Amino acid sequence: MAPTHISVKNVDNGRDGEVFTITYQAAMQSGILKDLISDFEHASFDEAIPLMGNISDHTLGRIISWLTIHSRDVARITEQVKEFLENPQNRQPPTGPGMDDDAVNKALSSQERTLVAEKLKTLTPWDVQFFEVPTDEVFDILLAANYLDIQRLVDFSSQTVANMIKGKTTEQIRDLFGIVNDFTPEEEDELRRTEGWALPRCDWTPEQWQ
Amino acid sequence: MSSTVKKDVAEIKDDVELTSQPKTKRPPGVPSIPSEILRMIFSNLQESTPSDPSPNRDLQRIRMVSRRFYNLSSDMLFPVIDIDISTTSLRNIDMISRHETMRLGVRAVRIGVDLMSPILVESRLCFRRYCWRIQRLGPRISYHELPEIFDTEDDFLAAWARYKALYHDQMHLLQTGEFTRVVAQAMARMDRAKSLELYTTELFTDYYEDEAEKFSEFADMQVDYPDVGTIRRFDHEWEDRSMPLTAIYIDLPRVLHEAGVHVTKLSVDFSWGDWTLELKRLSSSQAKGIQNGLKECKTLRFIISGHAVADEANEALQSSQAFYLMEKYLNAPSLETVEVGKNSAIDYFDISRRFLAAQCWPSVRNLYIRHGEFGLREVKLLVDGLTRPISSLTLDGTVLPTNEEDQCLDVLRGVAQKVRILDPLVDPHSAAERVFNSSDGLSLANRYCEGLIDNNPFRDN
Repeated sequence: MAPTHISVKNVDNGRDGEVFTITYQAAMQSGILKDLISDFEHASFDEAIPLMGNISDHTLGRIISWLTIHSRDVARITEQVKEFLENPQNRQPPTGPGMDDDAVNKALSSQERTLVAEKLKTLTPWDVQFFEVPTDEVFDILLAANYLDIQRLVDFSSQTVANMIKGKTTEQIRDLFGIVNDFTPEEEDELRRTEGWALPRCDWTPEQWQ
Repeated sequence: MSSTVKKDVAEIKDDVELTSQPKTKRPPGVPSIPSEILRMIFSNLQESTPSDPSPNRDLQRIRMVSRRFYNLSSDMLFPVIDIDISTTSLRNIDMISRHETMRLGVRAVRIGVDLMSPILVESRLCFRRYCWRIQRLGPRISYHELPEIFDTEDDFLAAWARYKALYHDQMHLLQTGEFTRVVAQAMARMDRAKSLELYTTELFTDYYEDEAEKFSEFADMQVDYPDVGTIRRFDHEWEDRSMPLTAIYIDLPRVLHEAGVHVTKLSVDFSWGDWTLELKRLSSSQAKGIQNGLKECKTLRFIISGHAVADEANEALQSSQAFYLMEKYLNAPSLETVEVGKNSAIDYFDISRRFLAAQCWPSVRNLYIRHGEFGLREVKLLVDGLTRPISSLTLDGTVLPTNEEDQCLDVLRGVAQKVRILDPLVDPHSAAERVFNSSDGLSLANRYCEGLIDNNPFRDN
């Protein structure tokens, strides 16, 4: 029988860290936690499962909270979508004459899946607040989510980083990522000369655009 | 449960809401971010879609950040290449196709087939009146910087000169076959570009001139418009008998095939004009060329549109030639999904009959017919042409005759797993949906549509 809660002991760079409790349902959103729970099933979950992902306690704590907040999303959103589709006016494509019950049901369940998937991709106001943290912490969450195989959190984190990039100049993006330009001036000139049509004009001086 | 549990869920939630600062500060760990994650981030910057294929500025800037970013993002820059008929476009598609990384990300090529108008080339008055339409040049990768607003007469004259140059450029590229050749060679280098779309904005097709004497040779095109009085209408096609667009619609499939390009998905907007009358000269080798060119094509969308005003007899003839060309496309041997249609104003030809004549049935699994005219006879013809059951059949813009609807539906359900009948002249996602989901079903839909048909100014009642 699946437990209601499990404990996870964080191991960061070989050092024992904090122990976190998480509901079974929330943990199932992580591919790694799912596998670990399956591996440790014989231990009846009396002891905390060690997680050796070199994730800081702080980051793991935040991820556990994210998992907890979103643990019922699929069920809740599916319920909302079903309710929405009860109104025939909301159905796409229209179910009309010429379609038997089977075809109608197939069309509806396909639309339901699409709507649920779309809603699951949308950041909630809670998520927006969740990511209102310094850039390096967003990267920490992204890397940890990737290690823990939480696809939705990876998507949200990537989307957040992309939003940080949007509208910035090349130099501002370098600052954001802490990256040093490793193109030589000659290479940059060469790129502008040969791929000028694919480069943004707004970063160029009028002389460069000639 | 372990006694070492430090936090319960509620505490964690509170903790997260209150604590947003990390416990230690260090520089962003970009170098340690795996390439696949960086690509995922970059993919969120990729805004290009078939409807908005403009090269993305954020991605362009990302490419210049560092060598690693350049290598990881270059193939995302042009998932769709949108070009027009111009030397600038050709140069750009050629450069993309020769780029080591960029070419690998191209999935589709869109070609805007609008031609510059000889009328605007010749008539300063016409150009002044219609030059605002030139701003349509938006998203495509070539485009020419024709100013929308002219501050001075010199600006105007410079723009007009530019327009003339573009017109001559287009004619040269089409008549020499250079356009199709370069596009085909470029697509051959872009391994994943299997989708081709020929589309028209139709922004360059209608021009009107109110100085009748200036264009007396077009006197036969005099049309009365109650709201604006008597004016004259010109199409770029009227004057040009050289069939410039045959290089696209007739030759391109063959040239692609000869270059080793196997298009699997093709979408064609076909707007007829006087030049389509020349299609009757389509030779058997040209027809064969189209068929060969589309050998691997599995999905075809072919939409015919045209004007429903003025000389109806002439337009009927033009449209029949357009349907004749469509048949050649429908002869492609591997088609699985087919959408054919005409704009709702065209009544000269019954698309369903032309479609039936095309004999493209053996491999087709999904049919979407827009604005066909179906009765029991056509439905039986359609079904007789099938050699095996199909997955889905949609008749859009079609109402089955009331006295035969049950028989028609029975026949259709016998061959298609899924049959959809959508009504004409309404948005299928709005009004049609409400009608079909009401309790009275098709009868109500029929009445609703009859009302629309009665009010359709293009309908010959």
